[in-house]
Amino acid sequence: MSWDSHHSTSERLAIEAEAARRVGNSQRAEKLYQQAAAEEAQAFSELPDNKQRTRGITAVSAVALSYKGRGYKLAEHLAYQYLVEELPSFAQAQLQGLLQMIWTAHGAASADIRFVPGDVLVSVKGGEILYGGAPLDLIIEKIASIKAVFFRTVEMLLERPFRKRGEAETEIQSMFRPWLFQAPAGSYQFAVRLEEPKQRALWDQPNKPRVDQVTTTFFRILRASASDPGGELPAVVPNEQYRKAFLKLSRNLAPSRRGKTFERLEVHDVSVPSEPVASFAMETRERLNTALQESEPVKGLPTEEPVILRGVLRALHLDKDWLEIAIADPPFHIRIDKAGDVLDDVIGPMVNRKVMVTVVQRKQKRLYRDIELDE
Amino acid sequence: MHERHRALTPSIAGSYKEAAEVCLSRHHLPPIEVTLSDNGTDSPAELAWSTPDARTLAAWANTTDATEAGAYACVIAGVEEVRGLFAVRRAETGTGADYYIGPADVGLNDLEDCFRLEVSGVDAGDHRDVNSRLLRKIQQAREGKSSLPAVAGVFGFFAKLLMVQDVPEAP
Repeated sequence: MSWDSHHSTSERLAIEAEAARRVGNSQRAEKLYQQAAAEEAQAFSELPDNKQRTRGITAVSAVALSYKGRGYKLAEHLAYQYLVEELPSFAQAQLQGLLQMIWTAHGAASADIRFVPGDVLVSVKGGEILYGGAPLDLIIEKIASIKAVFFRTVEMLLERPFRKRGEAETEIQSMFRPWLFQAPAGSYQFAVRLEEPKQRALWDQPNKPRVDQVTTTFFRILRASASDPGGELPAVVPNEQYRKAFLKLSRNLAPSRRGKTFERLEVHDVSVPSEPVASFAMETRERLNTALQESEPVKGLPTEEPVILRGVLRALHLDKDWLEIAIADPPFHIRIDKAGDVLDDVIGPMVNRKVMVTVVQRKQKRLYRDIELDE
Repeated sequence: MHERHRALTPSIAGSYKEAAEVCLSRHHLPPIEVTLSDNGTDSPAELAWSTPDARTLAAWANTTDATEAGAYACVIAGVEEVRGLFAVRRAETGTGADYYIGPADVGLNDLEDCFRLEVSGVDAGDHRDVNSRLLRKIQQAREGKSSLPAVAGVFGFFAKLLMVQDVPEAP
């Protein structure tokens, strides 16, 4: 038997496995993936040492197939075996990545946790982000923004009146509880899953959306916000107040032009991890800013020129209509009035972070127009 | 397609074709003229397809899945058209599967002379979105799989544009 015959058999089995997975027959899919992995491992053993590229691709394929068949022990064993071989650097890097995925999946399986379609995988890349590591405050802020988009999505689906102040009601928070999972390293990644409470009857109501409905809408909102906020988003979110809120929350996910902490944030559906649902980079933020400017009526007098102030958001009292930023050089605080329109979940993750506030000067006062993260 | 592209089985090729028909029908009526951009050199091509029935539309209601599968059909067919290369092998990765392309007679005994194909689809975006997706795919290919030469292909269903570009082998 040759590499060709084993690899061809493995290809055929893997295609059948994928087809079984697509129609929801996961047991058959896992069995076929395991058979495909065995064939691929055989194919590897038929290769001479000088076929470096083929050895690397085949080794990765064998481990990946075993992982997809949930044969974690074998996948781990194969990965260790191949890592001690002289394989090209691309294969070594991919095998190391696969090992992390195997450990995570194995750990999750032992704890009876399974990633399922609709789980949201968030990856933050570039800048100061390391492979598997990121500044804690950045990640906490991004998690808060993702959570805010989730709860706003649930409120929109329930046709609740638009919330201007405070967090989502306890009832909403109890309906769907976001969980945070460790995800395979790849820059820095984390996974979020919406779970329904065990005692569902308490919150069951006729129009309560299903988890998959919430996550599908969540993905559609983020995709439209990132790719076509002016065109596609109104079709997904017809309500103007919700639409503006989603535009501002999405903008929180994108880096600013001056930001050095990260370069891109991607949101993936775990069931289709190879292609991001939405990708937020510097240019995305600019598109979101344009969409926001087009959606906001021009306030104030035509002679009032907007000015951007940069500093750290130190204090706010939205019920009393003001916020305050601290400037470092020279050190002083600037108070900004008429800030009552800012949404709590938009500004919440910005507290003690660098922000850009757009204001207009009127007499002795600076009047709020917009605020966004400056990192 | 499966008769020319060894890595595609009849069912896979059929499923990609169905998905492409659904994605194209969202924005256009057949036939259309598409632009094939190969390393920055543009040429026109005619693209025709059968309008999908309600059952097919319902089966491919998930836009993400349809765009991904449809892009495979359009990019693989487009690479054949502009470069005369075929999908000869498929190999798994942690997040999916890669196709390897080359002349029809390569890939029988090994993958030493094959190129990895990076495929992506853009449903509703314009030329700018297709271009920025291509740049991102090239960046991803360089970051993730250095030392493997690749060809990145992005098809824009609304934009009627296929962009193909080489991703050189990293040192």
